Amino acid sequence: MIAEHVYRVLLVSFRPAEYLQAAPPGWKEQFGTSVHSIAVQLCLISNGWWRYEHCRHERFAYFMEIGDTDEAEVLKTVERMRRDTKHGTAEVIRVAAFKPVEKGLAKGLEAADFAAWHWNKYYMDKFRTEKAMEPRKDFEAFANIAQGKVDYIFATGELLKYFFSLVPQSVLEGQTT
Amino acid sequence: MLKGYFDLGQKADASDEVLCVACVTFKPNKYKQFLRPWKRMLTAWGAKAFHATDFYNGCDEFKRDTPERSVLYREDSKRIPT
Repeated sequence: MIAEHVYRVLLVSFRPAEYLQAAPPGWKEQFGTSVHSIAVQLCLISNGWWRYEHCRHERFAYFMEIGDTDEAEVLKTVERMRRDTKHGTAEVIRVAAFKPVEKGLAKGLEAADFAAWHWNKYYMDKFRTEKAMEPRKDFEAFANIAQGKVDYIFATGELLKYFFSLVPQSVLEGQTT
Repeated sequence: MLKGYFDLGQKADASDEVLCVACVTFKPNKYKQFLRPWKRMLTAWGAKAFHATDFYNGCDEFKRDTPERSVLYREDSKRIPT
């Protein structure tokens, strides 16, 4: 039901304790401590750049579950990105709407719940135990049928360091916004 | 207009924790096609919404307390991902 109908699935994952420990000085002051908010930002930017390759003129209407952790922080961040014409963020992400909704009222949220649950399960049971090549059969079936539609960013270790390095020191020191 | 749906999932044990934000994007016509079988699946369970944790653990609206519901679980656990 899910794999054959989706256009793109993006999974952005962090180990929160590692993220907060590895954040450079100034990061938390500039970008807050909400890992959820950071992950949503990465999704918007990744989808935005992906759009240039696949459907250049499209816009996005996004939905998140009402009452999710750090909802206010996520909404504030998305709004800031939508208004950022100075750095070109608004044009890249092309967000027409971003609304919190009840889970039962927007069934796409349930497809996202499926994907997030499976990734976390895969990480806890397989990935970190070096059984990455032995996923659950249902997750494997999903990945096979959705081949080419699924991307993931697992920001840990060296990739997390690289992620932090992308932000100039001047931004962390509050000299630019 | 593409429709993107977010969900936040977290899982932890004594030594580790992982957080995942999934963003699932649909084209409008494909989303409509997705809804029909999805709603039928939920109706068969008598569920208002799909929660993966409940579905896979057999809790709440996805309890597998009859042989019929166990069969339904086996079928849907194959149909949902594909």
